[in-house]
Amino acid sequence: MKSGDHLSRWNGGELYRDLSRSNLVTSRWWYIGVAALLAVFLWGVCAFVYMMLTGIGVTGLSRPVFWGVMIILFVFWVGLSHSGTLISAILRITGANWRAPVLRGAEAMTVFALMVGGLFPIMHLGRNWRFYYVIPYPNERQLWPNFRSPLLWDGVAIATYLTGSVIFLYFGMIPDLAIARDHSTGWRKKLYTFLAMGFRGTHSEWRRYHAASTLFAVLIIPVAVSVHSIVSWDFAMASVPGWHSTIFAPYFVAGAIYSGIAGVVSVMAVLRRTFRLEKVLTPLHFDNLGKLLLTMTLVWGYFYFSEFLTGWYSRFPEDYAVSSSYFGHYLPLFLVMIVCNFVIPLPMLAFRKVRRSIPAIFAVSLVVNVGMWAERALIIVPSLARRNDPSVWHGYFPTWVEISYITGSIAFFALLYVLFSKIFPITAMSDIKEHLFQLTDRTIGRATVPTVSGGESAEEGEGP
Amino acid sequence: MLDRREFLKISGATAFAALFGGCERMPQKLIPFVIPPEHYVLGESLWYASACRQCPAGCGIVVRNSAGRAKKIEGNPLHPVNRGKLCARGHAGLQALYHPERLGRPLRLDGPRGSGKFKEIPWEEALNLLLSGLKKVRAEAPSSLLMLTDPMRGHRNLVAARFMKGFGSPNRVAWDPFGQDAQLAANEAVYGVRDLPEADLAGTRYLLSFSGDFLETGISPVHYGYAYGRMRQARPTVRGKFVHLGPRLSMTAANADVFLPIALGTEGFAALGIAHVLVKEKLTRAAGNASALWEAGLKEYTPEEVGKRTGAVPEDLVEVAREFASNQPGLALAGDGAASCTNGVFHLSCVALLNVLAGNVGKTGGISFPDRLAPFSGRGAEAGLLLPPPGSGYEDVRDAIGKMGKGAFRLAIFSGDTNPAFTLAPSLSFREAFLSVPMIVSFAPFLDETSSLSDLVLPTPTYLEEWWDDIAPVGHGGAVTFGQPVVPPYRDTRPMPDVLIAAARELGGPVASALPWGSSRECIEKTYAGMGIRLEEAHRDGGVFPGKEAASRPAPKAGKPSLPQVSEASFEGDPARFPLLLHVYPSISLYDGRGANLSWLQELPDPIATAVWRNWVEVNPATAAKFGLSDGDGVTVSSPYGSITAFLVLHPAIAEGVAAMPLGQGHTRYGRNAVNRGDNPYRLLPSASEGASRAPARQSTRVSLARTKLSGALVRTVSTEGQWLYENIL
Amino acid sequence: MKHRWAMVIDMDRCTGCGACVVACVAENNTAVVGEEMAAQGRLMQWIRVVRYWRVEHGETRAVFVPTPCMQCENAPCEIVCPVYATYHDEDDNLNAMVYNRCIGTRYCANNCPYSVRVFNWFDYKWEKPLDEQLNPDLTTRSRGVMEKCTYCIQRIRRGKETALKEGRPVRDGEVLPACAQTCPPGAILFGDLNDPESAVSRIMKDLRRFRLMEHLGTEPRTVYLKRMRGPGR
Repeated sequence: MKSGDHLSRWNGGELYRDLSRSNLVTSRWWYIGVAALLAVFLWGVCAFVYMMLTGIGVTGLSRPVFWGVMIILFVFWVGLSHSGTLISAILRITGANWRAPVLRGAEAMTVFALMVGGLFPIMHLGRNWRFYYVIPYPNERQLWPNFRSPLLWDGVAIATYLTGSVIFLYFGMIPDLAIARDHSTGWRKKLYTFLAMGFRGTHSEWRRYHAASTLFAVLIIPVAVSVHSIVSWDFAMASVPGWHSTIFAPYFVAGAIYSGIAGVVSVMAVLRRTFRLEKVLTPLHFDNLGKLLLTMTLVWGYFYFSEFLTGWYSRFPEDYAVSSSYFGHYLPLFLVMIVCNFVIPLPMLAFRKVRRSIPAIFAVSLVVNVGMWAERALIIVPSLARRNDPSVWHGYFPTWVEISYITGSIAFFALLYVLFSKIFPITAMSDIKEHLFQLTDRTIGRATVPTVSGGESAEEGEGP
Repeated sequence: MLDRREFLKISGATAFAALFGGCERMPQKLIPFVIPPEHYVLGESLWYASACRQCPAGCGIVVRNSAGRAKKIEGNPLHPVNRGKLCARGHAGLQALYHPERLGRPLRLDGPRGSGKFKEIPWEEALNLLLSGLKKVRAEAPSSLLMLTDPMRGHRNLVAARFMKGFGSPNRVAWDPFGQDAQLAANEAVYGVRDLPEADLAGTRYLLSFSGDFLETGISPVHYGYAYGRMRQARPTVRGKFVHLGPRLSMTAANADVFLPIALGTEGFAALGIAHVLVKEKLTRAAGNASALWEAGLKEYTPEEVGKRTGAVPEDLVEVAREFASNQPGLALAGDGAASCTNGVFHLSCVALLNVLAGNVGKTGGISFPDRLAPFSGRGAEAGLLLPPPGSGYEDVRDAIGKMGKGAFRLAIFSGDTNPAFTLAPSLSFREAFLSVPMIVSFAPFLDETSSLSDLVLPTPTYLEEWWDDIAPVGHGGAVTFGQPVVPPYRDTRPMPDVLIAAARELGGPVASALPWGSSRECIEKTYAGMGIRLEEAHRDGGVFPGKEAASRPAPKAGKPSLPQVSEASFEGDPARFPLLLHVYPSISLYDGRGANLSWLQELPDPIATAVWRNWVEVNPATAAKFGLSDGDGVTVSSPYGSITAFLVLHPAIAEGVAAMPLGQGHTRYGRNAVNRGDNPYRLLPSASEGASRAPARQSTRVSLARTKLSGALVRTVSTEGQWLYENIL
Repeated sequence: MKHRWAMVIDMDRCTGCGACVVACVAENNTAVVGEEMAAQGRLMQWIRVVRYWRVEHGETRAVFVPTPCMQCENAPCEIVCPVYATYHDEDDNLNAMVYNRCIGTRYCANNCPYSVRVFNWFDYKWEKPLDEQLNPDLTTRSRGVMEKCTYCIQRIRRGKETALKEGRPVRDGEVLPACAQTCPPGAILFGDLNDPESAVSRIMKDLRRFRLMEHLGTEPRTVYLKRMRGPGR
């Protein structure tokens, strides 16, 4: 058998029909799903409007717990956003040849999670209608934002990451849009024609495409790492016991990658089921993602342990007040975190059976994100609730408004995803094509297995 | 006719005004961002000197008036009582002035009596009603007029007393729940002076307090607070030591160097134990008859014996006695917690005995009796009206209630600076008796439990809107304080003396000649003109301050002390059913309850419990454990006289077997801020009097506690977990 | 003339009476929040008198700690504000707050180890006619902005204006915040550290002097004098 045989079993139209089924059929369930998500999302919007009209006091915040669910959600979604682009970039660079079906879904996740997460720092402002005060431009107020504040670093980092991720997503999608253009009609044809920017798949186009995508992948990695480092510095730069820790930046990055990979797994499992992508998203992919997730479980566990140990062991009164509250008032939250982030995933993911069973790994990935939510809550709330001055200690529990934000943000994220997958090719068809092109059947003993010949980097002239 | 030039001028001016009018509004619209508004908004304001009437201490104040509105009250720096300082209650006087629920028009009952339903009527009609009532009573039986007021001083009392005398009724009752009868009686017994002493805290080296409350709700908290600060840190080498004995670590006790917990109602015995050591170890400085005291029974009060009675550690008593004797001058003081026991005079006499034994009488840094009436020498009987003794009037109130029940009164005039329906024990049935008086006229700025029983309510101004005069009970240094309106009267109100003067004029006869003035102002002028006081200057300074202490009166008995009549405190209720002793104390912010309608005071955390807006009961953690109660639980507090609910606060430094409650909350009628703030602890109290002085004995009942479900929770402003971690802030 | 205002709180004099709290509320137009908000830890008072329990030699005693803004020289709140709503005032060396700039990130409050900052969770209203009392020298604060003790900047301003008008430097003791002015035992002392003769400058050498959470390096200018204890139990 020769190179390209695998590819020859498909043609472009088939590939499009098979891999972008979501773009072609719209069932009743889709409308019901979108309506439900929209309702939950709008409920969250209503809660926000209510808060904006009445005051931040409708939340459960107090002195000293000035930050609560909104900031937890911010960190959570930004964390979730991590893996998409980062994984995609790392996989591209390292040439993990199983990556292809995962890429688009992961990248889209990054963009949407960032869009959701980025809302919360603005929402949580006491005067959110004045959020533009932080934007540096000459103005009649004669003010300039204070670049010593980590909040500004944060704004800059997130804006950069969002821009980068959007470009990364779009750029990777161009060949697929070209395929879609060639096989669609009506408004879709017009849309794809516009967005594909005349990509025809010529030799030079592919060459430039590959060069640029590698460059993007290399550039986006430091941005991704810096974003979550800076998010962590919102906390670590403050003189708040429980926050003020040098390990926070790598720890947050690790946590973000952890929750991000779990997010990718969840999303992949859902996409596979919904859009019948069983052919391209095989248990092998989940196995590989599961291994990554397992690695991150260990990394996260290591970071958490070393972060916690220093605060608890040193017994500095203010640090101890925070870490000891994990075993007191905040024990339930602490248990949720430890169980969901470590006790469940570690043994489960150690088994190949679990990793290859899509329902099982899907469940684990959800559990991990529940745990990561608890982890963020545990970082933010007890540290504030047990401030240096013990006289002001005060509890915190979210009100219905904040709970609406939690549900609303999930719905908003899902809604964006559902709409995206309705409009754009949700799997990286060209990458799959490329992968197929490289596949050859090889006979080992009596079995014939598909193997990859050559490296990942498409050499010149080998484009499909 | 308007010529062209004129027209241009006018239109120019209009345009200019419009332009600049616009400019003036701009700061509100165009927000200045770089400079905080505090940096340029400065207006001129005037400060008027006046006097405070939030409690009977008689502090001098200055009030900032800006654009015709009172903005801030501060202490009058010239005033000898408070020296520019002011307490929380003093500041909150502004809220009384601008209270949304203040009465602005006379009210006439518009519903069943006691229902609190009124309708507004014009002053003319109200005065006619009052006059017709007075005329009718005078025609039938003048002595059936009752006047129930707060203990007034100065011309307010002069007018009220002369009105009653001229009218022909002896039934004038002045009720102050925290009157100083026991103190007066004890001072008469031990020092031979029936007056309040001046305690020189600032000069003392050793302060021995027996349930003292001089820093919070005692006779003059700002005066003593100021002196306390000086006692501690104003002398280069001396820091006065402060030892407190009492059942509860109160705010005052919290400031002591040494707090020695003793059982409720045993202060006198603790004092005797110390006196025993003084005499035994020959540490006394009193002349003469220490041995007579010893033989008269003092020898029995050995520290061990006293320790058994009081729960004090005998060695502590010995040490305190030695220190008290060796640190001269020293000072022994007792507070309301001791005075309002059923044997309050005994306690106070024993404490006074310590001053005598240690030779603290008439000394700097000790006890002295400045002649409070010195400014009025030559005023004869009037002096006693301008400055009546600071009693509680409890006997008179009880008599009056008895007579009300018998139908002896046809008309009652009530002045709303006191609130008997709230502060009297329920077993006296004041409300029912009062309502049996056919006509009740109240002079009040607010509708409270008592004034809402009236048929006619005449709104009075607050003390910030009237002309008045005052002589402080302690620390006045011979000063007379003058109050003046610091703002134009805010509502359509009239001061009670003015109404009485006007009514007397209308009534004619002896009552008219008893009040020969046209107004309060004239009354004050005439009264003080004889003393050579020029009111213009006095009002500028807020009073007349001689600048030196009035000559001290001798304490004739101090040379020959005798052993006070020993008596035990008694507590009502069966110890098996009611295992705890109830200790009630005035709230520092609400006082006897009069501050409860002011939100600043409701939101001022209690110094010890740190609670706001609600009532609570304090017990020792060990006691709570016995009842199976924990911090923050809702409990029912039951005495033989009633039961109320409150939230439980664990107080780690209160004697076991004692339940303590602050007074002041639990109003049923006193406006939004005051009602629904828990129950009124006065409702637990028996109607007992102190044995010797007939003052109300509040520390006189036993109670039991039972868990109960209460909605909400007590708000404490200091974390109950964090309150133990003082080291964390260091 | 630059000033370095400082406050000295003598815990040996403080009786815990709370007069400072109400004086501050009266001076600074601080909102009353009511029981429900107080339960949520949202009191607006700029100074609080904290009562701590302390076990000394097996006996429980109370300590009162009046806590206004520490006016740190090295203030953690200032650096984290993204819009310079809280900044270091150059003339008076105060941590000033410009309410109009504040967008309510509440980061400053998180970063204040003394938790002295309070936030306007709602628009607090003064029921008429209680608003007649409001101090015209300063604003009331709208919903969504942070506020805190200013050392009564309006009173400082007034003192400086008066001195300027009379062509002399500000006298020691001439400028007093409302709390220091009213404190009955005189536990609160206020003055200018740039004036070497001022009472606060002299007292800075007192052996009893300490500052809260000194190890954090915030260099607070609100300084405490240690509570002393007489001999005996």
